[in-house]
Amino acid sequence: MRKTFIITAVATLLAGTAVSAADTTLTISSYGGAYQEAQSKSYFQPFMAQNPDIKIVEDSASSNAKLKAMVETGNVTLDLLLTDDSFGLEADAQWLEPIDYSIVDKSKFIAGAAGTYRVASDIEGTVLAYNANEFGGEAPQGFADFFDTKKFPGSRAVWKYAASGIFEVALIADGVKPEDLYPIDVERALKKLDTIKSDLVWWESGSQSEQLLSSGEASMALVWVGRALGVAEKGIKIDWTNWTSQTGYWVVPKGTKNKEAAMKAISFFTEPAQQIEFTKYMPYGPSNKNALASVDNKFKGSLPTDHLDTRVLMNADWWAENGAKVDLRFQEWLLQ
Amino acid sequence: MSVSTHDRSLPAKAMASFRLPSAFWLIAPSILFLALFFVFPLLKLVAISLPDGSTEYYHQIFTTPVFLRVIGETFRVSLIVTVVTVAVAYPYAYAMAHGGRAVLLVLTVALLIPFWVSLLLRSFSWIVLLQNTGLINNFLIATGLIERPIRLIRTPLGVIIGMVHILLPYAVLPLYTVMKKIDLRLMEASSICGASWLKGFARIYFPLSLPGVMASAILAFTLALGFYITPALLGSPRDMMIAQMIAGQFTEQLNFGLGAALAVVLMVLTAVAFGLFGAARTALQKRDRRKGEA
Repeated sequence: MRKTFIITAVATLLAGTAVSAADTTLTISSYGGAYQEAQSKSYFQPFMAQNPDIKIVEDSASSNAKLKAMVETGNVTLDLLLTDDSFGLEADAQWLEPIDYSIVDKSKFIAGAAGTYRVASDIEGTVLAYNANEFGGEAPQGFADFFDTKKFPGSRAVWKYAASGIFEVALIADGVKPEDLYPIDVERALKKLDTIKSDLVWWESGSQSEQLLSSGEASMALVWVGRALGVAEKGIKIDWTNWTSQTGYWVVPKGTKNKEAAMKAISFFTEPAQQIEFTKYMPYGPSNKNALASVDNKFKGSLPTDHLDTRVLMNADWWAENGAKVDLRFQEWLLQ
Repeated sequence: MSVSTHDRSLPAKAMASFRLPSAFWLIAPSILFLALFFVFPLLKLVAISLPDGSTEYYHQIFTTPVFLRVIGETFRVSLIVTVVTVAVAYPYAYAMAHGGRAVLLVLTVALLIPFWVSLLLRSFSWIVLLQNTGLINNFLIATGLIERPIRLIRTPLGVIIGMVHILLPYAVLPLYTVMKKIDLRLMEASSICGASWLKGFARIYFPLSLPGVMASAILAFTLALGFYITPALLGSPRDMMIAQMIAGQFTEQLNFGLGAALAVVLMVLTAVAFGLFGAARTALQKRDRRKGEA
């Protein structure tokens, strides 16, 4: 944190002295780590090469809370942020600039990727990952097997977050069709979760989910696809029978001084060439439909966009409206 | 937080400092710093928790069983952790204060080196030790002492072990400073008068070390109330502490008002707990003084 701060401070100073070279400084905050390095290589650096008048300064890790506080205090220091499904909806209009679709081409995106206030950067997913050494050659198939502790014994690791997809997973395992998920029947989902409650282990950070899988502490888990691939060499496999969607979105905070440059950057970052380059480094699929077919071979077959037919699309609007209430009920259930 | 045993001399000292404005100017920068970076943000936090003067968030907290339960749990866990920490710290500090130079050196190093390691790292290390496939369980299974792993992690025991380990230096150091100043010749005097070591300890040493016990208990309790990472990593969801909920309101729900109100409630309850603590101490001292006069 402090390191990031110092780097940002130094970078800002340097950017300030280099006014002659770059007229606009665009400050971008993303998730950090390997993910942001990949974005830097495939998005930020090519963008600066093509636009010598715009200099990108990186910040991490992005936080919806920080964005909100920044806009409320009128001190907007970030121009472009990466966020998750829970943010950037119509309900968040007071903190965001609408995407300027005269600069960004709306027609190039896959379904659901272009909203009023956000544009998808990449398509991620939460997948059922399992330890292939555990079940004697048997492989779980679909969310129903996630709840079958007789056939597939062991602990299950799940993100301790109501809107992580766990309610959707429980309902699908209980026989609900993906198209009938919403509105979520919270009590039915919790009743289903009760059947494996003593086998559930909760994770709160990506690294913790990897640790639980690779140490053998959990035999199955619902984890982000990048994390599952991160421990593939320990015998962790992915079952793509069902998976829930997760998406990274670009948003522009309200009141930024570099709105036009931010829109220009979004447009550039979501072009096929850049998105294909990104799939060299990260197992996340492109949001540009013209990039889908030509993703890099490295993760081909393991990209969420290679399995769009089995994707359970989460309804972010429903969660925006009901998230707070469901979260309280979820916490209460956890304490029982 | 006063741990001095010479409380009666305090008012005189305070008056002296009023007569010396130069001394006041020495602390002015600290006061300014606190006002700017502590008092002001704190008032701001209170303001956020009361949007347009409405107490709806406080109403929500006190009518929602989840919040009340987590607040209760936070105080319960903190109390247990404080008792265990002070109980472990007491003999440790005693050995440091009276065990000679070599013992002092070894114990100080053993205490302070983990202190320099990040809290997150230490909590993760406990996972490696305590988990079902961890070192302790693997060892016990390999030696045939147990057949199935014992549940150490994701239990209240896991939380207590992790928190006590992290809080130990905070509890040992105030105890050590107080114990170091206790004159051991008093113990010799008691044994000359025919008291056993245990009686001398109970009647002389322990009462003299009480200010240290108080200080370390207060420090451990305050820090325990705000624990976040350790219970999240080592406990089950049932061991949730209030700090986790406050963080959730700020970062996940983006409900700054409710998060701020929860933080204010925690702060007020902590102040109340200290008030009770102080009242109990004063009552004890009064009783002792009366005993002394009788």
